[in-house]
Amino acid sequence: MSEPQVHGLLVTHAHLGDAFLDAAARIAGSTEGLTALSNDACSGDMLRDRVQEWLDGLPTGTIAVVFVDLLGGSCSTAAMLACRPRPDVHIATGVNLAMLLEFLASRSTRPAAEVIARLEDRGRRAIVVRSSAAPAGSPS
Amino acid sequence: MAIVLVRIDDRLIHGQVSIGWGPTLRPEHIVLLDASVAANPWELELYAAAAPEGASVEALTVEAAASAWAGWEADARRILVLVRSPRTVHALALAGVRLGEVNVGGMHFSAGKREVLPYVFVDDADCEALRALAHDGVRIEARDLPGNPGRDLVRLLD
Repeated sequence: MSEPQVHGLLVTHAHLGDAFLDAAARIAGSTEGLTALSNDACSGDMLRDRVQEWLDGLPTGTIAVVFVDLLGGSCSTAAMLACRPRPDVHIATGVNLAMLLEFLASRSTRPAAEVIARLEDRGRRAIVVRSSAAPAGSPS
Repeated sequence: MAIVLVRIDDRLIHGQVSIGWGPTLRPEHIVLLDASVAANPWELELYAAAAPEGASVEALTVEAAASAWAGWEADARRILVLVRSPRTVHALALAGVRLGEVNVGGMHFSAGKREVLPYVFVDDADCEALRALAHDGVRIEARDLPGNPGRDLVRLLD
């Protein structure tokens, strides 16, 4: 039995999703399997419906990841409402470029469960806040 | 402190409300006037998780809110009331609630609606409800964020 495909949807404020796709393409070369959806001009219900439409359009057996920018924002609320009845859908909040690059690099090369498991770890590991006087990784 | 703002926003609690208005209003309690959320504890939990830190959240029908309104006006807490549509506010007025001012922060596009402001789209039923409220003396101010200028929405409908 072949591994299920993993597809991703970026649901973000304004043009952030398109900007993420552009930046990811410049680093990874391809953003195949990843789509962006903006909340611009969308009511909460409309955004939920658009996420639902994207999910309904996926091939049977697909594993989906919905990336959202801001936990508690309209994008995460719409995603959670749309994805609630779907155990094959995962939601990743606080998306960053490192998380997306991990997704693009691993979605075709690793088992779906491993792809999902690595996203949070990669996203968190990319966040470091340090004084400019102290190199990243040095003791605080 | 009672009711600090009544806001029409079809996204209910989201970034503009929590992050944009939160520091200005400092709400301690948020009321969602929405029958769907009131009937679904899971949805209420979802919106409550998005509220500004320290603010409790409840969801009620218009009828329940109309009964509770006088108590909220005398409440020691700072209360923010959110509704999705001007029709809900009009229903509230018809149920006997006297409103001084209503903020319009987000009425987004759907089929049959026309743009009045980038964040306000209306259909005939919306216009009818807004005009009826204005006729009864309610000031309807469109303002998405506290730092942006407010606009008299009813004057923009013509």
